[in-house]
Amino acid sequence: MNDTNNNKENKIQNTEVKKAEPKNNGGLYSKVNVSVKTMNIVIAVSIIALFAAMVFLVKHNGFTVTFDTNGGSYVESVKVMYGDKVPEQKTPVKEGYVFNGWYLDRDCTSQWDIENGLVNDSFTLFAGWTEKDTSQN
Amino acid sequence: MSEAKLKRPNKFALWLADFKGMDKFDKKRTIVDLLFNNAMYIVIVIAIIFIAIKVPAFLSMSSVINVISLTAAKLPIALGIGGAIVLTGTDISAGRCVGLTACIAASLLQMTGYPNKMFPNLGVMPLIVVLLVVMAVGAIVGLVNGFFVAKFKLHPFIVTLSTQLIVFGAVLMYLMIGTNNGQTLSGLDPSYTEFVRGTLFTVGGVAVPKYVLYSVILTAVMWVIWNKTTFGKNMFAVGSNEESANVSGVNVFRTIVLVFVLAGVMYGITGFIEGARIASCSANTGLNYECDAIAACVIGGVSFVGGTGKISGIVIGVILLQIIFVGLNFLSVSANMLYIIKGLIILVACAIDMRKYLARK
Repeated sequence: MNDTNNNKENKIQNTEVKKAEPKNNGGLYSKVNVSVKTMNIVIAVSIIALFAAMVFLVKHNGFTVTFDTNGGSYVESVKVMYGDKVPEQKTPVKEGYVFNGWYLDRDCTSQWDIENGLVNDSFTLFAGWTEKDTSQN
Repeated sequence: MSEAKLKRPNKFALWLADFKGMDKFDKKRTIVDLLFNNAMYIVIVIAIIFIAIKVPAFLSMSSVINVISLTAAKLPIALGIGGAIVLTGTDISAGRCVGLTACIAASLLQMTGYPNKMFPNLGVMPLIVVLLVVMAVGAIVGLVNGFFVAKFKLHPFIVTLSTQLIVFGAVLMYLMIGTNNGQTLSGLDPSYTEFVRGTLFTVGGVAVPKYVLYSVILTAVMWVIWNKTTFGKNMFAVGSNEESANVSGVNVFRTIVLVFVLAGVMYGITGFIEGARIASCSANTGLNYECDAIAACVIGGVSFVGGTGKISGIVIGVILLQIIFVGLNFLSVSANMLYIIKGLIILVACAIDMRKYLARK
């Protein structure tokens, strides 16, 4: 059984008889030439790096909520923890406009509920503006 | 059922008896092998235990459902990429392809009367037509990928890198159509969002979305394709050794093309689901989705050696990754920072995969 298989293979590639036995040439790793021991070290080091990165990120945690005032006065970004509310911000001002709330998109279609909205990722809030009614002045 | 119950302890007992029979050196080597080959799982389990102790809400029902839904959303793309990895290739056009198909699906299924509608004169399209359109778009991208890989023996990395760029350009152009001017697509038709995000059933007051069901169906279909069809067997044969597959009469060209087309169809379906899931599609939709999918496949034992991999492995890989990400989210780690973790996870998983291959050699 093995013989016939080998004969078949021999016709195609004379030199590869031994390699053809596991029927696989190693794919992406076919040219890798390191010992298992080296790999152990590589794995151990990269796992330590992975843990270190996780610890670092957990130590420096917090989601950043950035405020884009669409041309109004600058509002500083804040750091918020998971499940917390965005802290009350001082209302931005813009010449000729009245501030009407924070929105999740620049087009001001979905408003952020500053009273009840809970943070679960970093995001940017956009200021919504309505033009001042000048006819009354 | 009872047979399976009997079998499991037997297998373990056999292994234990085998282990006891070894000499000291072999025992040590077996344990080292076991530790290193499962290092990724050990790391993830430690991380999960740590997170669960720090934030008990992590184990709550809503968080479990959240993990399941996220897994369901990311699973089809991983199933598609899995095929490419079995062929010792990869597919980095996946994320952008999801982005394009999500944008197409969203633009065709916007509410009538929505002020920023991309095609204002378009009525409500039947869902099935849109689904077929996005599947076809995905299939075309896959066809291009597959053709260049199979015909010119280019490395899939290069081919899919170029299609990734082309598809991204196509998304940006697509979003400029009409008066849209590159804006985010939202205001989706209720029939679409209901079909994808509607409640399948509720567990403990938490709704399970319908796309979980679609994901389960897709997984089942892919399992059948991988395990029960000639195409699936050919795929593993080509992945294992292209030359010998060719000798034994497998049409290598057709197999490679079909694997990429199938992957493309999967991206199309993912895009269709993703469009309604996130409900606002922009050029950034789908960015880097392929990284998660490739990481999940490698964690799940789809080896870059080629010709090895299981659907169940991919499912486990996706679940483990999502658990980690959701857990880190609970610890207030920003999604931007998670990229570092993702990169390291891919490196570790590849190193383990390579170690397994070297140990066998």
